[in-house]
Order: sequence, then C-alpha cells, then structure tokens
Amino acid sequence: MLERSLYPRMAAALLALLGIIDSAYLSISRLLPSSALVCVAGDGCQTVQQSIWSLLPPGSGIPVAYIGLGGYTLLFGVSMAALQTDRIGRLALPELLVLLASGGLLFSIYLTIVQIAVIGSLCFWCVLSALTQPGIWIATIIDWRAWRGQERSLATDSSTRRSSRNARPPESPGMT
Amino acid sequence: MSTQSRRGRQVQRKGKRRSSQTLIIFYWIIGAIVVAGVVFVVTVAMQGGFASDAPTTDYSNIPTGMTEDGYYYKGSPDAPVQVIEYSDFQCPACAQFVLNQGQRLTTHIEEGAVQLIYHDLPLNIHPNAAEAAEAARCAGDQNQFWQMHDLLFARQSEWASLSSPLDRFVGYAGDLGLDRGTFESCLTNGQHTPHIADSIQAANAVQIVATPTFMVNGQQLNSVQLIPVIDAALAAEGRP
Repeated sequence: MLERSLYPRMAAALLALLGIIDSAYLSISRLLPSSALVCVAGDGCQTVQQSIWSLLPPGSGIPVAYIGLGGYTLLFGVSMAALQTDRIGRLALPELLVLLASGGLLFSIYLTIVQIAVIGSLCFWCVLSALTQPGIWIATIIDWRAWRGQERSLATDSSTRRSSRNARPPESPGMT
Repeated sequence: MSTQSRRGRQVQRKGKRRSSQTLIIFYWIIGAIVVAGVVFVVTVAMQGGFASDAPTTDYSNIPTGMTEDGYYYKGSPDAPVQVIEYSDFQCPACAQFVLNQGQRLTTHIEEGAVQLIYHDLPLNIHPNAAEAAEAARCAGDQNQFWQMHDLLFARQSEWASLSSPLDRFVGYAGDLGLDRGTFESCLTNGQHTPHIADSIQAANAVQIVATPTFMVNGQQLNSVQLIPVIDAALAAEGRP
C-alpha cells in the first residue's frame, strides 16, 4: 500500500527533473550570447527563443525559461520531500503538488498556444516541456486522490473507534 | 488475535522494507539523471554543439583570406591551379556541389594544389540569397567566412523558404560561436550590401549566367566539368 502510493510521487519527481534539465538548457542558452539552441527535431528553436513571447510579460519581462526552471525545481523539491512525508507542518504536500502542477500545466498550455497560433513555429525543447507537464499533472492527481482516500479512511477509522469506545457498555454495571 | 496482529506487523515490516529498497533504487536513478543532465547541459549549451550537419572541415590548416579586390579565398595563393567560383547560397545545385564534391576539392586545397576564390552571384529568383551572401561576409568579419559558407549550404533547406531568414542566420552565427550582437547589426545595417552589388556586376561583366559556374585559367566550367579539368591541370603540372 505504502509502496504503491509512492509511485506517482516518484513519477512526478522524475518528470520534474527532466523539466529542470530542459529549462536549464534553455536558460543557459539565453544567458550565453555565443551559444545557440540546437534543435534535435524541427527547426523552430531560434525563432521561438528569440521572439518577444519568450519573455513574460511579452517583450520586456522575465524569460519564460527562467520561470520554467524555477517551477520545475519547486515541483521536484516538493515531490522528493513527499517521498518521506505527507505533511510539512499543516501543509499537505499532495495538495501543494496538485496546485504547482496545475499552475505549470496552465502555463505550458499558454506557451504551446502562443507557439502554434502566434509565432507559427514549434521549438523542440518547449514541446518536450509541454509533454512533461501533463504527465506531472496526472501523477499528482493520482497521488492526491489516493492520499485523500487514505485520509478519509483514517478519519472514518478513528471516528468509528471513538464512537465504539463511547458506546461501550460499563464494565461492571453492578458498581453503579 | 495476537497471531493475526503479529502476522499483520510482519507483512507491514516486509512492505516497508520493500518500499525503502524501491526508494534507494529510485534515488540512485535520480542521481544518475542529475549527473547525465549536468554533463548534457554543460557540453551542449556551452559548446553549442550536437548539430549533425555542422561543418566538418577544419580550417586551421588551410590558408584563408581575402584577395586584393575583396573576395574570400581558401587554399594557398601560390597553388598551381586557381579556381574562381560564382555561386549563390540559395541555389540547390550550388549546395549539391559543395555537399557532394566539396570534399574532393578540399583535399586538393589541403594539399596546396588548388586555391578557390568565392564570388557572390545571388540570383533574383532566390529571395534570401543576397541576405545569405551578406551573412557569410558578416561571419567573415569575425574570421569565419568559410565556416558560415559551409553551414549555409548544409542547412539551405532550413532557411530558403523563410519570409525573413535573419533570426535563423543569427542562430547559425551562435552555432559557430560568433558574437551574435555584432553579427546581427552587420546584417541589419547591410554592411556588405555594396560589395555584393559589385560582385554581381563583375560576374555579369564576364557573362556568367548560371550558378555554380567555375573559372579555371579563363575557361568557364560547370560543376560536372570542374574536377576533371582540375585533375588534368594538375597532371600537366606533374602532380597526382
């Protein structure tokens, strides 16, 4: 039971790690003026990376590669921590994972729409990230549902135990 | 009751042991991916490498430079055979020549037998050819004319149909390790436009009508005729 429930968190951590490598590559090629993106497939990398849409807000903001790097690092950190514990203080890690993954998924959908509809060019490294995000999201949803089921059954168990203890008849009725 | 709970505890302990073993394996996998990821990011991003069709000619051992009238050459100026090439970066036949027979020519150049002088002749039917010619010259400003020449031909299909190839060319400059800012401003300012125009005019003056056309000892040749003529000229010089 315990082992099975860890698999979605492992999957989330693995995919987030791939996301870190991907976005780190995009970030470094942005930072170094002399390095260009190498497209493993397709040919839209430079077009996408050099467009105004590679910044948020477009044209004059933070490079989306940096935002991706930050987001994936957070997701990776939280899912690694979730392999050891369900909660940090009052913070439920499965809930936090769903929240982070949903944010990442929405951001990724936005970037994919921009690539297809506005720039008209797809970048391999961005598509890779766009494929990673739904994977992470599904893993965190599976994990969250399992965790919620477990929490509920624990709550039912303890309330049953409590109510059965309350309903227990006095041990020696003759004493009263 | 007690046997049942003992068995339950045993099963739980076994499950915990198995899950901690799974975790240890998982951490090893994570560690391996981190190492591989760091190696990947550092080598690929820092060197801008990984491109399968990147130029493979090593120009460190080949004399390169510019002729007095401003044309780039490769090969020793003292070579017995001098070849002038009239070419267009967007012309498919020119790319075919470089990709298929370029190596043969490079061998002659490396041996000091041939000097090749490149003359730009971007044709009107190729909308990106003039900009590509300028891109090669802008790379030449940073001493990488021939590297950009090879890259433009190798990746011709990538940029030939673009409505504006500027970003792509800047990307190639990055691939070659050039200063992208300098390269881009050279290209957008049209720094070499006058030279390209002169080159076209000079080619028209000697009635070059197709690309690629080669001139060896005043004789106009096409790409099929070139290598046999070079071989014959070298044989006449007593070279293999």
